Amino acid sequence: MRYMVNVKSAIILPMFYCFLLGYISYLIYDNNHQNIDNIKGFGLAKRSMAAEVNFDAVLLGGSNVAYSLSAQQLTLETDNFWFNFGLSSEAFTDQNYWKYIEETIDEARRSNIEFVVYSSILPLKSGHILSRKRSHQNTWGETPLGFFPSLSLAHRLKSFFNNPSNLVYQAPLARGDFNFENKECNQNYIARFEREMDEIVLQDWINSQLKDIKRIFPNARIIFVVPSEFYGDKYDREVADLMNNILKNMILSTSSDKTNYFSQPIFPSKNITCDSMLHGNLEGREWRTKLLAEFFSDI
Amino acid sequence: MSYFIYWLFAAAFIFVISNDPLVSIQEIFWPLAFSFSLIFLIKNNERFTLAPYLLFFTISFTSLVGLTKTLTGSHAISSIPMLYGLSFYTASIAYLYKKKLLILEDIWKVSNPMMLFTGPIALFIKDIRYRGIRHRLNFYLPFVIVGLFYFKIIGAPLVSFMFLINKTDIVSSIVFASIFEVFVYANFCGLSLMIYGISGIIGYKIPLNFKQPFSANNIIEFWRGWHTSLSAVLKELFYNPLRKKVGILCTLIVVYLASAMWHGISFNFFLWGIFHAILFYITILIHRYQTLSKDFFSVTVMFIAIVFGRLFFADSNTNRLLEKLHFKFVDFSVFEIFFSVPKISLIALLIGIFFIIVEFVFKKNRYVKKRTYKHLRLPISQFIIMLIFLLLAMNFGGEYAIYGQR
Repeated sequence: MRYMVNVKSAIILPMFYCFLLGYISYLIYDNNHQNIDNIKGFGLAKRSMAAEVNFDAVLLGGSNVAYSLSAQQLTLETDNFWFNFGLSSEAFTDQNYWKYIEETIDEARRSNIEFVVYSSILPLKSGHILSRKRSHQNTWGETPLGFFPSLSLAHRLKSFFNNPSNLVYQAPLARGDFNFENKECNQNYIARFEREMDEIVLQDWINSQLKDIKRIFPNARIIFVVPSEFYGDKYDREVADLMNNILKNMILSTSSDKTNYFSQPIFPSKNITCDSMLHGNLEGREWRTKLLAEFFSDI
Repeated sequence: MSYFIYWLFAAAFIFVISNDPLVSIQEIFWPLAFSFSLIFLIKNNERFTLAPYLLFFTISFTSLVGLTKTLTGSHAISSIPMLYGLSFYTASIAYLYKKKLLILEDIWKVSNPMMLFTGPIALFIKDIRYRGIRHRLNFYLPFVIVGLFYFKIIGAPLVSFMFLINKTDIVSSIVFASIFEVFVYANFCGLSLMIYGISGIIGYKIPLNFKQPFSANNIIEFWRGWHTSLSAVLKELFYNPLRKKVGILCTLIVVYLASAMWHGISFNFFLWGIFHAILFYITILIHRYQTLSKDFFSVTVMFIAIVFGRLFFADSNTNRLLEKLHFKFVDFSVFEIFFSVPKISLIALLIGIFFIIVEFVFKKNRYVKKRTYKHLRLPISQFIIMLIFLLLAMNFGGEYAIYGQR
């Protein structure tokens, strides 16, 4: 009796075939439409812009660099010519990011770089370092065609009905700076304080990043920056200070030669942040960049 | 020969879904080689009565010396592919040997690569290929669909909550333990149902590792539905031989400590084992003495066992666990996390809780009471599940077997 096929259960199979057809169709559609935030256009525009601009100092990192540091302002406030190479999610894996940098700046130019500011949020997020190692995404966050789509159908439908023309990453301004012109910074985010607490993971990551930066920019002084954040009353100063000290010791003990460490203070107000606790708005960018410029005057 | 064909299919399946072909070859070869050696060795020493126990505790020993990892629920990539699936095939051989059912051909059953991925422990495999493929598809495909839904739509996005393990106040600890319970259930049950369904479609019936554990009235019934293949091994190896010799409480302590040691040698599993044994015993007492409101007390004890048991199970960091056991109340701010995790994780949690509530509340319903996920295999349920899958499936979260890699 258990294996008897009745009419009710017999309809599951045709239903499944229809679902499978729909799912495969969506998988293919999703694979061909992964770049909804224009991350690729943003990165490629920076690449072509960098080929035409003179610079001897670079800003490296993820979206915290793209949003909250200004190469134009630093060029005005320091003695160097800067370019902002901040990419969304630091190109999703470390290998992707360093490959992008190597392909964007030729070896001769890289050897002339005097300063590298590397500002990463990875120590500020629990589990991010390890999850990046497992990622199969390319530099623009795209994944190869697999069993699951990069974005859910529900998410695409919601984005379509909410604001179909909103691009997160518009074409960058001069020196690779983020263009806030049509960007809505509504501070509509919930901050969650966290840190990467696994010291072995942190140390491995620091070793690997410093090694890559030194390989790519052999003559540069490296400034390892912990970016500004905003958590309001959720900020745990004790844990933040503790992790800050651990990070500083790790970095300076790994590479004290030509390496500096700079932990930027938290944003003084939510009003100068944008769409995340790690992204400054126009005002926040000016504030954070100014502090970085002041740090340079002390080196 | 029949089980060899199934073994070949499973090996090919594991090889195809693996990211690293070289590792997957090792993960297929070594269990086969070890299973063959072990079966050959103990078949020729039939009076070696300790053999099943030595086999069962092999994984405890490798855990103690650091060769295999203790189960934590976090992704743990095995550094020694040679020991892949060790906990499962040693338990299978131990069970079959104890039942005096072990034959040399069982090598193809106990080392089946698909079952070593995350269980079930191969207590039996029945050839059902005499049933037509259409019959098998109609019956077993819904299990695959339900399993995939549990694993991918409910389980995978819940890893966004895992940071909560660091919080040590009582409210956060209970919230984390509850979410972790949903995660473990969705992950482990989902994969088990998928493997059960795929095996059935190919033409082989294997143990159904989960039988709606939350459709239980008490913790005893709960364990009849959770990781049933391990329960069968524990019953055969420990419960049956000890029950009449040392009394029920001692037997339960031994059974649960053995189970704890199978999961890993650590302080938290020791606590977990003792805790469950005591609550199991309390449930027996409640029923033995026909206590007033026994149903209420049984259910209360069951939920305490599930949530606090999971609190112990989840945290292998002894200092942090001890801090949690101070049961310090701070505030209710942990609930703010529901607004800070990705929406997909929140939806996954709500669906997971809903499914568990359905299992529990409607346990007397004719589709639920058989405890075979019949209510989720109905055409209307399958339609809804497929529709939600189509809407929510995405490349996000933890796509790994929490019971795998060892």
